[in-house]
Amino acid sequence: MASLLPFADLPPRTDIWRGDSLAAPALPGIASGFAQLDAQLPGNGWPLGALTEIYAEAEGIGELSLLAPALARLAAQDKWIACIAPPWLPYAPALAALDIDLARLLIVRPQSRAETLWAARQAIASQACSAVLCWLTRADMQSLRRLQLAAEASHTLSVLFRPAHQAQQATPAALKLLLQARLDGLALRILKRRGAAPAAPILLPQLQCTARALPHLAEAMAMAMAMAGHHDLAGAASAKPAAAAMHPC
Amino acid sequence: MIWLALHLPNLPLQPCTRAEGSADTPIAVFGTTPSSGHPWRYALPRQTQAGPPSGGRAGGSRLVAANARALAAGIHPGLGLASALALAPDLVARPRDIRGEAALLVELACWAAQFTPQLALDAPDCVLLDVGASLRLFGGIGELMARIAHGGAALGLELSLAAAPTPLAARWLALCGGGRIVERHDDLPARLAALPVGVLESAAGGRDAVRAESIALLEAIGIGTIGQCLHLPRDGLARRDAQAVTRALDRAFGRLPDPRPPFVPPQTFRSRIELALPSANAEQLTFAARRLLAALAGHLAAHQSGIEHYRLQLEHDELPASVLGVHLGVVSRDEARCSLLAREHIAALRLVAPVTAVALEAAQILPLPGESGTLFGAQLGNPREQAEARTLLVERLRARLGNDAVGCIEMHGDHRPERAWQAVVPQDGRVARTGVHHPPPRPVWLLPEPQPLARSDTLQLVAGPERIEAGWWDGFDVARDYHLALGPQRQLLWVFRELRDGESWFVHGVFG
Repeated sequence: MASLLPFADLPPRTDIWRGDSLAAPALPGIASGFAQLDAQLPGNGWPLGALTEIYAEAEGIGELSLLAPALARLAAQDKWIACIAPPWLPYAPALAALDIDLARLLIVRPQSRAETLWAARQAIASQACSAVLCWLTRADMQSLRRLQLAAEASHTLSVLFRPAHQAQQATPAALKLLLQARLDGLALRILKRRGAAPAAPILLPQLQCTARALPHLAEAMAMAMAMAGHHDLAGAASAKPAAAAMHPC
Repeated sequence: MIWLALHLPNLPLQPCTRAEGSADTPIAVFGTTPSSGHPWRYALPRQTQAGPPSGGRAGGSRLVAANARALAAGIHPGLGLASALALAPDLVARPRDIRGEAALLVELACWAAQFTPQLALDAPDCVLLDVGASLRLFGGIGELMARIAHGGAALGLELSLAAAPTPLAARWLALCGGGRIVERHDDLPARLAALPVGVLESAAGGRDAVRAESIALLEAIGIGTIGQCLHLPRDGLARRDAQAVTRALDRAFGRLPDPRPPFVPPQTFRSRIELALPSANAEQLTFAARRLLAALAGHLAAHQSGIEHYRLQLEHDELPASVLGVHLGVVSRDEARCSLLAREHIAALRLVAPVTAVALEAAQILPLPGESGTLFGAQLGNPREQAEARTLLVERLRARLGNDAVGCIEMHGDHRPERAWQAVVPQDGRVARTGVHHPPPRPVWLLPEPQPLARSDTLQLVAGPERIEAGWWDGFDVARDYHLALGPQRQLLWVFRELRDGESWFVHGVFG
């Protein structure tokens, strides 16, 4: 261990990449609004000019709340925030409460998967969107690569929401996140990122299911639920030993 | 003063070859119009027209023009239809369309009006531009000619360009192969000397027309070029009833005035391309439409104006034409934008029959001043460009996916969840309405219809109830107790109990 110390003390150089550091993307990221998450992302935030994939174990566990602070910030730009093939109706009062400017929100409902991919590519390539959110149930490597190429040529926050069972599929995306709802918050596992190997999962207690809806009630509820669903929690923890070691940073 | 002549060497052929991207099919145009005065006479080697027409009825229609593919098959002007078909069995023979040629010339003039406001038509196949005042703007005569040649290719027209101090000299030079530039009066005699006397025929119409007999006379006495003509005594020509020749020469050399009636482009734009063969191929139709849109863009640039909407008509043989209305979203004269939307509309169209012709019409032409260039080059964050990009994206998505597939949402002041929002048409520059702010939590996702919960579903109620009871006055009466509930996968749901029967539970939203 002692021999490692001098290396760690070396001043940082731009022409030497250390295996344990994150990549430095060309464009700084958009701050996600969650300090624990930003610290783990190259560019200190959601990547611009690259594809991000979010795999949620179930719809509605907080995937949109996770993006909400970044979207609220992007809405200040004079560009569209495109929602392509959302699973349900985006509900105006809730979005307004999240400070997302509804005048900037563009909702696109394509009829088929091919149209969804086409619309996503157009939106990303148009330079007219600050963020493109696309819900994809199924995608092949070729179309994902096209989206990634479009994303590389733009300054758009490009996010694909995909079902969790496809998380193991190889993709050209620069960032892959797996979301799991837990009783004490939303757990994020970084499956892929540029630079250092993915670290331990991040727990965002701010996105605990009730906290999202009722911040003031959250603590009491979490306690109550932890008591009521204790056996359930134990089951989840044993099924995923990696998650058991998780600690809010 | 410097005149630029835009000559169409293959004008009879152009109406039917414009829509063809590649010259794979041999195409020939047949007409009864005497072709003696026609420019192919100068454009083609003389021996091809010397011999008597081989085959074909006398007085019947003769070949007046053919594309490169047909010429390569051994076809030459003057042939009858039967002989031409014998040489090239797959030849596409089209009747000559004199009116189409005239319309094409006007279209070219409208397009060219973007380079100078002073231009004149020189029927049947030439447009003359007085570009003296435009040279500095376009970076010199060479630059301007390159630009026009490039634009002409986008229109699908084969152009031969030449510049000279007098309109007639420019025309003669263009007629005998383009690309020549004569900038000074003094150079004219030397540069025109080598031209054949045949060009005199295109000098003017009416009283000043040089008669074919005069040219035949000159050729008969061994005068083959303009240079030799210049050495002839003027009184001798006059005695032989050929004053028109001296007058034409005087005008070409600038010794006599040569006023040209100015051409004023019409206000509306309407143009049409006939396809050589009926086609249902979207690519080919888009290609034809792009030709028309290039002409439209030039026309609009000449008028300092733009359009917001144009109509494409795809004509069929017997059925009524399919009409596509294309909205641009903003007033624009951007050719790329127009053709992009045309492509999406054509791709989405279900054709009832193969298309024989494509017509473009822009009825409402709106003023759109040009923009000043910036000192430091184009800046990316230009608000107007951004606004155009936004509307273009919306229009593009709507063109392909349908008008209903693209929308925006807005708050609406109502307590009933279904009525608390409304869909609106995407519109740039809209300011979001801040409706009533709901203090209680609202889900990010609303289900299109409340989903009934079965008795076996077990949900854990987390918070509530919130009673929403409203709408007895407009027929959509709700009386519900809303709760937050935890779903089986720990997603937070918005559920309600119907108060009327007190029993049934529904899921109405998801906190995403």
